[in-house]
Parts: sequence; structure tokens; C-alpha cells
Amino acid sequence: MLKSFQLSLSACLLVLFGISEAVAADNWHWHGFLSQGLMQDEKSNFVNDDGSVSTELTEIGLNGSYKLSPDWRLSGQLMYLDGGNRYASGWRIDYLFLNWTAVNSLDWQLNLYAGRFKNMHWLYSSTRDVALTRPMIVLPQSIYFDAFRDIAVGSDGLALQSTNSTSVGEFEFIWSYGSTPISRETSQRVIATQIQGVTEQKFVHQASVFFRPQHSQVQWGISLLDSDFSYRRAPVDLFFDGDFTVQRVMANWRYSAELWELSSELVQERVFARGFYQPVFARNQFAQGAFLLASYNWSDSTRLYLSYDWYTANKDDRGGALLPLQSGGMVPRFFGYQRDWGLGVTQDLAKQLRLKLEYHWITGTGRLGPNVVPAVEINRSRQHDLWAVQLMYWF
Amino acid sequence: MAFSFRIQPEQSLGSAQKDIVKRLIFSFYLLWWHSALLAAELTAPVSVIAHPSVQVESLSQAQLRSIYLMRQVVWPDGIAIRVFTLTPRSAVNQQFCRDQLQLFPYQLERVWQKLTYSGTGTPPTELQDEQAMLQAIATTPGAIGYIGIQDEIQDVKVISIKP
Repeated sequence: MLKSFQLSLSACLLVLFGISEAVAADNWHWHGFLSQGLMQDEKSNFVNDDGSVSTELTEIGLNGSYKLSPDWRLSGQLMYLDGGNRYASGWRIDYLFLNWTAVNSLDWQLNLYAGRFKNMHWLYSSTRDVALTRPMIVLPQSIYFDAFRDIAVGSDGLALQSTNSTSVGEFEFIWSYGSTPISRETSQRVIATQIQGVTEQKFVHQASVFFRPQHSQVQWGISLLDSDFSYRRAPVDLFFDGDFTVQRVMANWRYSAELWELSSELVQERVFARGFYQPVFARNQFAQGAFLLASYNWSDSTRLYLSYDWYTANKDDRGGALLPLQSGGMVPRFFGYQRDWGLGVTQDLAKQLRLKLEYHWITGTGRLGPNVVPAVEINRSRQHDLWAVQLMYWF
Repeated sequence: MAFSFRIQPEQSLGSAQKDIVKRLIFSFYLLWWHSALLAAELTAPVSVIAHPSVQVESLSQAQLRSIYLMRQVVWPDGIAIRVFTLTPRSAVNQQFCRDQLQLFPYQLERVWQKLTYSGTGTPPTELQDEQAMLQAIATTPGAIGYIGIQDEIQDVKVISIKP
């Protein structure tokens, strides 16, 4: 079913690109990006299993947008990603949707989206894999967990976006409902490398509100997520049938000054697991995370970044003390949390050519995939630093 | 569901980390001082201009911001809005962003890139100088743009902006 859906999306995209030459330039826009980097995390499986310097930091995208009428628009993006162990590599249709502008007055805009659309609910979610739009090469993993990227990046379904300008400020409301196909490779990266069965996202329902007060440089936002997953075991499988409910409560904030900016997101995530480990099993666990990101425009072409990211897998066991007890000593306590200090610099080399460099001091392995059955045999070190450099071009 | 960021004994800060925090605070102080030196002193006023066929006489700052954030894409009479900008680093652009939109150029660029690469919008057309801006606005129905205040502005309509 996934293949047929992807084939039909591909056909639409080809039609979209095919007709591009025949239409007026005003109605047709196309853009793209190309980025390649190097990265290394010597003591963990974040990038690869052997800790060597990796070139698996490639992001290529080509997108097109065609205005069918003043109120209707079709948009699509084809993308190639290679992030090593971080997410599945290969070509994919990143988004392909029909956009209906239902209301477009001077004080109220309402847009509806149908198809495959990006997750617009978090500060950096809609363009998390477009290198030039990311503040850092590796986003804070507490919120933007890379192993979960393919599931969280967007949905096939319906979305609504409403923006109102009022005397007190600007309100933006976003709602979406849909699901994302999950490949076995993604399941292996998120759940366990030994997984053989079929994982399905039944639905993901999200809503968020952003508020930008009048005459202010501050933005506030809250976001809610509710999603159900099922796992159906293969005939020969280490695991059992299971169901998972994931619910997120998030808040975000951003302050922008002329030369510097601060942004932050907080999350509390509930994971309610039934079955999977054993036929009769139930566990309700709350994870928490937060990051603070500062950026500073050193000059017109140089920007500095500093981030601190904090995550705990179980708010009732922040130091991970229960993990060795529950696993018979197999899982060290540092799998229960992760903290990351990041320092980065971005240098514009030309108008559409940019170089990024960054270093991360990371303590704990709580945000390394797979998440449900952790890779304890590789991730033996509590401290694992990461460096990355990436060159990007866009048009 | 309440948040509390208690630090467990294993997670307490060591002396090396305290030293890093002190250095970071000092670095922030230096950056603050640097930003005070760099903060732009822009004083030249800017006029918002449109194609003569545009029926709107005035806009609020919030409405102008909606247009430049590419959310408002048609005029009230249904004509498509064509948005023009000057290069991000030009003094007139920086003045326009700060005074009329109450945004900084990097914020606008971020929004445009987000629209472009998430498929939810298209960026405005960038022009090299004010002469090109005047020409584009005068010859493009539905166009809106801006220039530095000039004694005589011909062939385009000046739109007043209300706070």
C-alpha cells in the first residue's frame, strides 16, 4: 500500500514538473538545496557503528510549487537523505499536497492542506532536514530525536493553518490529522535492531497555537500530540504483538533581537506500552526534555550558536537508576538521560553557499537509537562527543 | 504532568563544568558588548509603494507584515499581490524591516525559507536597488515594495502605514 501511494505521489510530482515548462513563470516556482558534510561520534552509534569519520551527512532536495488558481496550489518536494544510523537513507517524497486558501483577508488567513504535508507544530520541525534552515547540523535530540525523524517529520492526511492579526498581536492556530507509513528499517532504528514484524502508525493528531504580541519580539507557543502505534509480530519473532500510545505536551518560546536570538522548547512525552515485551505487559512512562538555543550575528556573514539540550527518559527516575535493576544489569543507568552542550559557527561563503561547523559535548545515551531495546553493546561510554562540518548550497 | 528539573547526584555539575559555565557567561558578556557596538544606527525613513491600480490607501503594520510574511497573497479586490524586496543587507531594507514590519531581516529570511522548503508559500522577488524597485512596482499590477523617502515619487502609489 505504501509503495502504491508513493508511486502515485511520484506520478503527481512528475506531472507537476512536466507541466512546469508550459506554464507562466508567475504560477510556477521551483527551488532546491544540496548539502554534504562530515561527522564523527567516536564512542556511540549516533552516526555509525564503528565510530569512524563519516560522509553520511547528505541532504538533497528539489521542490516545485504550481498555482492552479488564486486559491489553489500544488506543492511537492523530492528529497535524498543520508544520515548514517540517524535515519533511513535514500530518496523520498518529502511532501506533496494540495493547498486551498479558504480565507485571505487583510486580518485573517486560513489555509487547508491535503496530502503529505510537513509537521508545522514545532519551531524547526517543518524544515528539520533542510540544512540551510536549521540552526545547527544536529538539532536538540530531546525534541528532534533523529531516530524518530521519519515518523515525526510529516503526515499523510489533512491540516489547517489559521493566522489572525488582532489589536493585541498575532495568533496562529495549526491543526493536523494523519499518519505516516513506517518501514521496517525505521522500526529497527526506533524500536530494536532485531525487529521482524510490522509497525503501523494508526493516527497522529496534533494541534498548536503560537502568539506573537503586538510591538514585541517575543513569540510563545504550545503544542499537543496524540498518536497510536501497533506492532504485529512476524511468525518467528523475539517480540509479541503490542500497542503504543505516544502523547506529547510541548511549549516553545523565542526572543529575537537585532544581533542575537534565544529560543527554547520543552516537552513532556507519555509512552503507554501494552504487550510487545510479553503478551501481558503494561507500562506508562513520562519522558521530559528541554533545550535552550542562543545565536549571535557576529557579522553579516558569520553567526555563532550555543545550545544546551536536556533529556530524561523517565521523569520518576532521572538518573536512570532503575534501568540496571529492570534489565538484570544489562542496561547502564546512563541510558536513562542525555545532556548536550553544543557550540557552532555558520559562515556564509557566498550568497547561496554556507559552511557550518559544530561540536557537541554529550553525556548520557538516552537519545540514541534504537530507543526501546537500546544498543548496549556499542554504546558503552557515558560521554560521547560529536563534531560535524557541512557545506550547503541552495537556490 | 508537572515539570521539575531536579538534578540527580550523578548529574551534578563538576568543577570543570562550572568553569565552562563561567567562561560561557563571560563570553556572553563580550558578545553583548560587541552587539552594542554593531547595532545599526538607521535613521532614513522609508516609503511603502504599490502599483497605481492597487485600491488600498493605507495598511496597518500587522497587515503589511502579513503581506511580507507571504500569508496575505491577494488584495481585497482579488488581485494577486506581488511582493518585492531589496537585498537583505541594504540600509533601506534594514530600515523597512525594523520600522515598518518590526522584524529583523534575518527573521524575514527565515520565514521565507521555511515557506519555500515546506511548500506552504513562495518567497518575494528580490531586487538589487531602488531604481529597479521603482520600475518593478510601476510596471507590475498588484505590486508592493518600498524605497527610501524621495522628493518626488512618480508612477507608483504611496501607501500610508498606520502603527
